[in-house]
Amino acid sequence: MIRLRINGLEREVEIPHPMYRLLDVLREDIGLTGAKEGCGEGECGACAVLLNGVLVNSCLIPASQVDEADILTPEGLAETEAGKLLAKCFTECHGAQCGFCTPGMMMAAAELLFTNRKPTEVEIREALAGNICRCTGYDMIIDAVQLATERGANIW
Amino acid sequence: MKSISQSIPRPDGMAKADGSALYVADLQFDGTEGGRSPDGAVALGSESGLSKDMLLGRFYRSPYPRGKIRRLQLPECPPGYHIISAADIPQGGKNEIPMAASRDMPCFAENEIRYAGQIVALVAGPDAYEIERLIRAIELEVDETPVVKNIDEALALKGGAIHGEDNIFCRVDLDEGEVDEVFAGAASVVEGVYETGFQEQFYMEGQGLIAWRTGNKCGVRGSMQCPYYVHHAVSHVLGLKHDEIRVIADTIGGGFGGKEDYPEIMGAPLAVASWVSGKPIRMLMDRVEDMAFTSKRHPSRCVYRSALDSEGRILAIDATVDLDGGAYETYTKIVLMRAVFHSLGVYAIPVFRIRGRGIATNTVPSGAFRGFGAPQSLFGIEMHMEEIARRNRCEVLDYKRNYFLKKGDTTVTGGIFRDEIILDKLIAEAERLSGYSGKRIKLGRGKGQGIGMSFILHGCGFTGDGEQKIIKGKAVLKKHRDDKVEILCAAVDFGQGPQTTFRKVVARVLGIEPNTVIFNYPDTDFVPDSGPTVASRTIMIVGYLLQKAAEELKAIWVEGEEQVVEQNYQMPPGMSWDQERLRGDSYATYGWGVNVCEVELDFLTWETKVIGAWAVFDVGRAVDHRVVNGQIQGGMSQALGYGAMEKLEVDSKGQFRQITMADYMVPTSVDFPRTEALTVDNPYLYGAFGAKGMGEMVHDGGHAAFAAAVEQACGKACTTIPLVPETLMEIMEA
Ligand code: FES
Ligand code: FES
Repeated sequence: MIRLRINGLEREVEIPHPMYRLLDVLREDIGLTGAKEGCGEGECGACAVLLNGVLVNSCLIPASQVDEADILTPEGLAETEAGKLLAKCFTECHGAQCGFCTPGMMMAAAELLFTNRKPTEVEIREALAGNICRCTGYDMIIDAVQLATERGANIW
Repeated sequence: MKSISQSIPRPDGMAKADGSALYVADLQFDGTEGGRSPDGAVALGSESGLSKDMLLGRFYRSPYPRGKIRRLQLPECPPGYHIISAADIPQGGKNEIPMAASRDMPCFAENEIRYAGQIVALVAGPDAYEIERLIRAIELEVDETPVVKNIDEALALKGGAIHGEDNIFCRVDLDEGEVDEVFAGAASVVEGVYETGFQEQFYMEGQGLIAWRTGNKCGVRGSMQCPYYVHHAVSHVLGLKHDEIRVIADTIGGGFGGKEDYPEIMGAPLAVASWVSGKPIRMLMDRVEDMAFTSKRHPSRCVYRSALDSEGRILAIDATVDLDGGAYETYTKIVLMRAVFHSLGVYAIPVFRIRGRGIATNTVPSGAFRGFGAPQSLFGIEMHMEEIARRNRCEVLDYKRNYFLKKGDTTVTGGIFRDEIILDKLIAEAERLSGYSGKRIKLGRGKGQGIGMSFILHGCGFTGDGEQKIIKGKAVLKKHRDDKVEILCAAVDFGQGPQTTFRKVVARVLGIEPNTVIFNYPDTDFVPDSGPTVASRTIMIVGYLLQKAAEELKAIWVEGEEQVVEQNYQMPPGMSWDQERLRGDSYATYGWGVNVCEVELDFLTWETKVIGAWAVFDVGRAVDHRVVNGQIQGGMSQALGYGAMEKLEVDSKGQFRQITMADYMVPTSVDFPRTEALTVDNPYLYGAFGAKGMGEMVHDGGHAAFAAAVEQACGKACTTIPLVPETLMEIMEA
């Protein structure tokens, strides 16, 4: 049994076996399916969440290691001003096509903007390099993050 | 009024960004019996396959690549578990997947194995570990035959023929004029061999489906491009009637063709298992299974020979186009047709002979992937033109210009290019954006820098009279009593944009807001068969039907009344096609494009770096600039990946070597620069607001532009992609 905080709510979760991952906790136990499984091996970023404020791939994090941790998922981010702004920018700029990478991209973009209010295009590209998108070629995702940078001057 | 091309926010964007969009892996039992979620996005409840007792399903796949099945021994099943194989196909059903042009692939292997990973059985039950244990307990004995891993081994008939007597699934031949005579009198002949590898679609969401049974009705839902293809396959395998099957598409995490054929291959056996067990079963492929066993782009080898006169002009082309079709024919014939029909690119060649062959090997059956044969043969012709221009010591763009097709010219199948061809305008824009010609001269040759330009044409919609004879697309608009308008058609948005563009088309005609138009993911219980979401047909053909329907609805609009209008596809006037002889208008119209790519080459590591990418297209008219430019940029990224980094090889058993994301390299945000994308209007009379198909041609030329740039940078011919460092090293040391 572990206790952790997910999107601000205290949760207690049984861990059925040592291979159980943070991604399973979110999707199976809590029913938060915003974080997606794209690869299950830490290569794509579709399962990205913030763990104590740091971007991680939740498919690589054993559930046993997140006791007492603070987790922000795509659903939690979406509730915040920052998340709402980012979602609008992704929608307007067409940064989401099939959308499967998008929640992870949103997490990566949020982490970047929280630490760097005015990133250059190069910095944005580097910050998103762990998140694979097969649809967009990334350009409109970059557009979305740049738009969020401009519009969110008082958020970040 | 604003141009229809002016972009609007994607109606499906917010749900995707905030994580609330539900993909097949996200669906949970919601305690209801049926209906749809308030926003219409999701079919709910047990009637739609979501029930508490949903089982997990996994395939047992053959570990052997080739041979006769001697024995299949299935273990004892504990209560609640099911093992399903060929023997379970119900009476009246057939153990074959009915594909577009062939039905040689069985649903479950029964007599022989043709590739490692072929589906032999399906195990379903509540617990993944127990399923795994049962899979390990299945015993399959096979009299093994030597494996055919590639085209050469297939043509050498290694181990005897896999298919027929010669391993040729299908041929597509085109002839014009007296080729041998022209070659006999030619001043010189230029010959080249051009090869492309496998390519993985790499949709970010793996394949996933749920099958269920309600009474005498079988349902399948999940991640798919073509609900009616799945519908058809299930009907064939189970022997059920049209109204005994229901197929629902859910939000889908990318397709690129990879969810055109595979959901039939996967959905049919899953439907059998669910039908026999009576239980809903969800099957989700993890990344390794998906990469290892789902269909890929056909590897190709094209040989081009050109007869030239003493001035270096092309008199005739003699070409072969060979595609590695893998273990079963599946889609190979129609991919080959497209490859052959695009094999002379944007050039008018007076005399030619093209011989296309789809070849059987013991690899995973090759299938649909964005471009569908065109990226292969266009690579061949573009690189061949580079070679001829070099021989003639002529700037390649100047040389190519001499052969550009014009309105009124004859197509390779004897049809007519009826619409305006605006290549010159596209080139002017590409020059303006990229500075191509100036750079091409300045960068010299073999000096580590290069810039390449490639040309694209892409036939829109199904080949020949397929739209008229086979698809017979139908689309419906329904005005509800509250005057809300609903789109009813089978087109799926897997990222390419119909959720945005269809709404815009209908709304523009009716003078309403796009966001008020209802457009749910298709459910075959409610939508007509408007055809599959493939072949660059969606906006041009289905979109046009919707435009016509909206015009009709507008004319009869009565407030507060329910009204339904229906439109059926009609071949554009003047178009004709003879499927027997492959003569006539192979496509209703064509999209056109120019791609430019600039590279730097590291002479120590042989790594290439793309420093510029530009793409200018004639898409008729863009119904939404950002939807279209998003396709252009995404397509360029995939095409550059195809040309530069996406290496996919097979091992001694014919299995793919690169089956994880760590091994198969796709572009990340730091691999390529922004693609500068532009469209030039050239409206098409029979497309929605002038739109032509464009979803595929964006993948047709980036790899050739890249390879042409690398040729300039390294100073040698680069005729094989992907041009990974090892390949470049071989080229330079040869
Ligand atoms: S699913 Fe976690 S990184 Fe891909
Ligand atoms: S939008 Fe489809 S993977 Fe990024």
